[in-house]
Amino acid sequence: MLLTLFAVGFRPVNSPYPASDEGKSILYRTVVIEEKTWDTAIIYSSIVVDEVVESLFAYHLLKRPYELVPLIAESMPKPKRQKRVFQGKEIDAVVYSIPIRRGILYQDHPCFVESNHHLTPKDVRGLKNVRDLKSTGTRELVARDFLLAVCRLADPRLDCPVYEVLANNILGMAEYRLRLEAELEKQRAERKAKAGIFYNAESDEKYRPIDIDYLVLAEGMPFTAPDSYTFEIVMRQPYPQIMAWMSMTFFAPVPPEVLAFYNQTVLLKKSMSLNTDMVGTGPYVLHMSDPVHQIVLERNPNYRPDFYPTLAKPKPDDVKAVAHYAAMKAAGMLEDSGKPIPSIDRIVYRMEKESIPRWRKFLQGYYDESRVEAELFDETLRLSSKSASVLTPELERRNIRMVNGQSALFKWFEINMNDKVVGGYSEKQCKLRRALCIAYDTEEYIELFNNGLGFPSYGPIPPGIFGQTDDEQGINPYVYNWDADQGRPVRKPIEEARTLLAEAGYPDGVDRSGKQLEIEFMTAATTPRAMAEITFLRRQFEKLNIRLTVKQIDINRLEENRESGSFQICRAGWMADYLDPENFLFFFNNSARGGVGNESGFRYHSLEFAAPYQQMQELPDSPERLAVIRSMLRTLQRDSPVVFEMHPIFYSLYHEWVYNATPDLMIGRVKYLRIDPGLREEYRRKYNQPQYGALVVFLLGLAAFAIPAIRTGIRHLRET
Amino acid sequence: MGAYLIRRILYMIPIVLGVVMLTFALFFIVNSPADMARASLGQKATPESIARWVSAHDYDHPTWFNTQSKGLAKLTDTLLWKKCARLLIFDLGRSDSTEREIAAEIRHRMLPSLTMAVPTFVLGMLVNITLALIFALCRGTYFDRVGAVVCVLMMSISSLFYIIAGQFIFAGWLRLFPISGFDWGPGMLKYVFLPVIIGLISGIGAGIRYNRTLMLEEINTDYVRTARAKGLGEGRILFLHVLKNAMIPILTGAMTVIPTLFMGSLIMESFFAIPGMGSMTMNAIVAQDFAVIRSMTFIGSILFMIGLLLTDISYTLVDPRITLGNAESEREAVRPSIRDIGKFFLLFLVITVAGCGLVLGARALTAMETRFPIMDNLLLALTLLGLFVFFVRARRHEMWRNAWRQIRGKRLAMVALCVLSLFAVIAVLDSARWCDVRKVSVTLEDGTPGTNTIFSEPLSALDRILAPIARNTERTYSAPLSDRLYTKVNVPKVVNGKTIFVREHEPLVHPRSHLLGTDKMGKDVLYITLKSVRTALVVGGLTTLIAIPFAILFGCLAGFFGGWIDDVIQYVYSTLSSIPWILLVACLMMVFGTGLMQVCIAMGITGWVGLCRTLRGETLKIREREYVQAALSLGTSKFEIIRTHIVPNVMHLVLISVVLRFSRLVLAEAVLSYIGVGVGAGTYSWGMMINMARSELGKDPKVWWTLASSFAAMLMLVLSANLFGDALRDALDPRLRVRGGQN
Repeated sequence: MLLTLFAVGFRPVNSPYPASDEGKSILYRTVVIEEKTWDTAIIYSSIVVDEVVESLFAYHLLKRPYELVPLIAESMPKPKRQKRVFQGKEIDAVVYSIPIRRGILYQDHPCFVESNHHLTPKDVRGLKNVRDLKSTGTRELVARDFLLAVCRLADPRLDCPVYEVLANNILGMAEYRLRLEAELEKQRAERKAKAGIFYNAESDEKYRPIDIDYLVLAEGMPFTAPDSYTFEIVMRQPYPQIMAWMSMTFFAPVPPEVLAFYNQTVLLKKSMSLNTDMVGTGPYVLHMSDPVHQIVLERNPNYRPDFYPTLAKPKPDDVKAVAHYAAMKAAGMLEDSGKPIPSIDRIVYRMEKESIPRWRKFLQGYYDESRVEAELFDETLRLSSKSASVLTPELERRNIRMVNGQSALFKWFEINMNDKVVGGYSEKQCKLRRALCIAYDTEEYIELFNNGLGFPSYGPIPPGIFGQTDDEQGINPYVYNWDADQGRPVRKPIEEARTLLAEAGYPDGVDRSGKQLEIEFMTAATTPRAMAEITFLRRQFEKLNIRLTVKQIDINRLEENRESGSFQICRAGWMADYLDPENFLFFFNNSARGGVGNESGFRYHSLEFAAPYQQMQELPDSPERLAVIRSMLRTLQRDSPVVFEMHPIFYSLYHEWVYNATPDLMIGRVKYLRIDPGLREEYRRKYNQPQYGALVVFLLGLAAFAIPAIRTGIRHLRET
Repeated sequence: MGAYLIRRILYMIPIVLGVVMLTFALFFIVNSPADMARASLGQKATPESIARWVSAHDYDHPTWFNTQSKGLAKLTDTLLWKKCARLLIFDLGRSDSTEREIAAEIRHRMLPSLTMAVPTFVLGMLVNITLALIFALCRGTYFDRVGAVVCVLMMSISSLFYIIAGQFIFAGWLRLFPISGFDWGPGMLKYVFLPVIIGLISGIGAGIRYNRTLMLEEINTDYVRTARAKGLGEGRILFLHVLKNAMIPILTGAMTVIPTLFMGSLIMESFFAIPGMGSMTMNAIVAQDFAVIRSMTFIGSILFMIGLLLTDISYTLVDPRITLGNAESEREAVRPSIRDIGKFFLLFLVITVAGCGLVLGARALTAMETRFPIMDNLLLALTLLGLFVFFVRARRHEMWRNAWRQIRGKRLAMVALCVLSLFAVIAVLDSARWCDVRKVSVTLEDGTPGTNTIFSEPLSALDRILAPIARNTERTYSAPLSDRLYTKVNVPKVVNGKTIFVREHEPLVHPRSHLLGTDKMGKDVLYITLKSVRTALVVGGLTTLIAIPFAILFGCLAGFFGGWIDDVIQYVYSTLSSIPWILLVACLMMVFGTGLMQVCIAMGITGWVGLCRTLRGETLKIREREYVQAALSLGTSKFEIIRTHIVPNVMHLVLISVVLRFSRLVLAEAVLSYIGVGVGAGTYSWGMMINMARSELGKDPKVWWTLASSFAAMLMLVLSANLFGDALRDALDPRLRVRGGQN
């Protein structure tokens, strides 16, 4: 009480920001890891790049189920089936002809000024930020810029992570890459001839990259820009998911000027390249970036007039739509419909690696949002059984709210199907895995480790995505029983698991020779949470009298073992690129060609599963597609090549002064947000009162201790 | 002076080369370029992209020797040359993980590191010297005695705990400082206040003790006694004579530290998010960025060498008795004969081979499935046997008997000894392990019935004693002596025939039986704490056991022979010292893998340096004594001299070092667990409890009992070890021993 008397009315002294920024329209966010590159051909998604760079389409902020709407495109293209002849073969192709909006300007950037393409070392001496170059310019966006983006995706030097998927579907991409490779060979041979014996391709091209004229080489390819405002791309076979890919920054427009600009040796020597800069048409521009410390984005003055989206009033008989509309209205997401955006002037991203300081600063009001800290804050949030969020009293007192997003995450235990003990496709072996599924109490895991914020996984598709339904058909019948009275799934009793285990050849967990069944769990994690998870896993296996052994190795060996298949179980997770069921099912489709990334450890080969895959991929969302997906899921659930674990709920916490927030990375953009800096200043002042009183008390205490000590000392001195 | 400087600078070169080669070897034993690529590319790495990364970063060459190239290219077309040679012209290159120029980044990051390190150092020196002076002034008084105990107390608390508590109190609760972060510009200082204060407080204990010891040494010299006898006042003695002369070792010691200020503190910078050199090194270790690691060790070793050079120069400037170079040339090197060299080399081989053999044998034995796990019980038996032999032999020696009598008289030391014994008993109980046997009837392959003997998991004696609380697991957290869960969970309740889930604090399965509460998985915290005792004692004991033979061997050899043997040994330990300790241990752990034994080996290999230096100094002094000189002139074999004269006379130092370093090792294990290279899953340790506690403090409401238990247990052990070690040192220190057997 005495301390608070001292405390009223002081300015907070623990602010990590300069005093001059108080009360301004700035959004404060955190980044946890340093992104190695911002090149749109390489990154999947980045919360920084997504604000600066726009692509053809985007998900509508308010509509559910998620719907792609045009962003830079003028309107949604209608795919046309057409017979095309390509390289002598006749192909049943699908053509997407996308009209582009007119009058969109790029941000101001030195690359648009011709004279900046011939910089000398003197020009860049002492240059810390490319924007400090005196002359900048801009120009209108044209369709050719999209063409250039697609061409770059095929560049073997850039190593686009989704190249395989795109090349398999986009007509001409693989052939274009061959052209690029031939051109690179040719240029490298020329350089070698000139340089002589000391030629080394890597060190030569480090600061003098080979300049390829992508568009010239792309002549004759099926991806074209017939005129300035139309962009055309052709699929080899029906592939509706290409629309989702085209909403990602891979297809963001790349002006040839920026490539020429960053091809200059003087800039590359200063570590300035497309890896450290972004040029786009979005509502914000990169102002300064110090990756170990902070990144600052400022409002783009060239941004086109943009308005907060509206949600149409639903028909009264459409129950789901009515409920959704009401929910959106209650969350305040419809208040700003029609108003001009963006309203926030600046975004500051601070690097914050440690989770405790991140959380504390959020509580103190120095960060406006807090994402996905379920690991840390087990007790801060609670999800009641009705799925309504219930925050702890402390958070509620501070008017912090939680907003749930669409779960696009999938966590599972990967089982090596080639292993003699846990793998295999026979009914007996499937029973062993199914027994493990029943014994692993996901609900308990979600309760203990994720604070109730997660959905148990019945299959790879999370709830909310097409293909997964909230009813009896949506559950995993091999692991759950449907309780008709309560209308919800109930996990099968452990006795059933034990029966299955016995049928699999391990009655009471022991094999024929009486030895206990041992399963090895491979992990590289060393965090305390991981240790607790191992204990939890061990406890689940003990229910079946199976012994869990743990192989703890470093991350490199783990990846090697996964690839070579020398493990029994390990943990795995996946975050979807786009919200289509295909992006969750492709893992299991190994009978066809491999997918993207590192799922080669899967080794689940089932023709039964793979047969309807193409059909599933092509069908639009319809009852027919649902039936196909359900049958595929049944196959998976029967074979149980993995122990399906859970789908963590994607959520974010926001302070009261942040409006229109949604945590979905694919949808939420800062341009939709609105903040009230006055409320923020009030909150910060209230919750960051420095306790000078305590300091005074401490100093008094110190004096009380020290003074008699000094007196004793002086007396001692005088006596001797 | 000039020639000496040049000689020293030239001497730096082979050391720096050695450091670079050692770092290179350590790194590439553990990692291959493909591993580095994978670490850099992350989850979406394919074999093609890995190959591309490796060739783009110029890593696709053989590591040491290229058999396919011609002539000189055999040596230069290797990773060793390509990656390390450029360092010698100070071209640090680019980071493998971030592509930024390393030199530019170092320049950028030096400022935050210095802003934090320099004030900590300067203020630390000021505070420590002032307080040590005050204590020296009041020596013998009640105030001094209490102060000594408080210093030991503060020294026994892990730095991790200071940081966690400091952040919590000053930034979280009192809100006087920002929790973490940094900003270039005029507001810079407010970010370093808290780390500086915490650094100050955590270093006060050890600093005051050290400075006070130096001052007391000075106070007990002849000229001070003369001055006092002549009637000079105590104050004038202190300020005029003692302080000035005590400052010599203080300042010269400080010289060694100054260059390392540039390297920043890894832990502090990580906790306080200060983007300095320390955090750069940490990030590089985690990201396996060899380019940065080699640059940092290169610079670190150069700075270390500069520090040593500054120390020597400052000695000359401050102490008129010492001139550069004369200290070495005056000492005549004892020339070893070939037989002697042979004998010592053989000894070294025996120790190393025995050590490796023990380790490999232990591995093999652990893998065998038997009723009594051989390795653990064998270790226990050997340790007990060793202690027994030591005690039996010590009873015969005058020195030990006197020491014991002296210690027995000090009440504090006896209490400490009792506490230590208690811990030792717990550890011993936890080391004796055996399996329960179960006979199962099975049908063999040929159809006949038979029995199979199944061994359960081996349980130690401690496990069996604590079985009641070990078995009582709950669902999750519960407070000490509580009857309900700490968190709210879904509890099924039957209402009107329907089962609904209600959110509440579920009552415990074993209410009020958990003295210190339960952890996240419901395990009794008292049980975990007691199980961690063995880990701590093994870490302290086994590490020292590994370090001692090497320290004694090398220390005595270097001190006794001088000359080229001294140079070689100094070279080896300078090289080892100049690599940042955490880096060295992290690399070694990656070679050995995680595990209790591996931690001990890694810390043992890196830990012998300090003791070696002390023993070298002591051997230098003993060598000049008359009886040693006599033995030398009589022609006794050098091996015999060292064995019978030198080694027994330095054993007291060894013992003191063992006891005092013990506490440091226990604290170091906590730090290793924090950065993730600790003892691993399946082994309980206080370091892991502290690690877990960090996240638990962030909860609301806070879970405090894990941190409290591990902190209290660690404090008790380390404090007792320090107090007992102090008493032991006082008892064994020949200067304090009264001659003639009187006491």
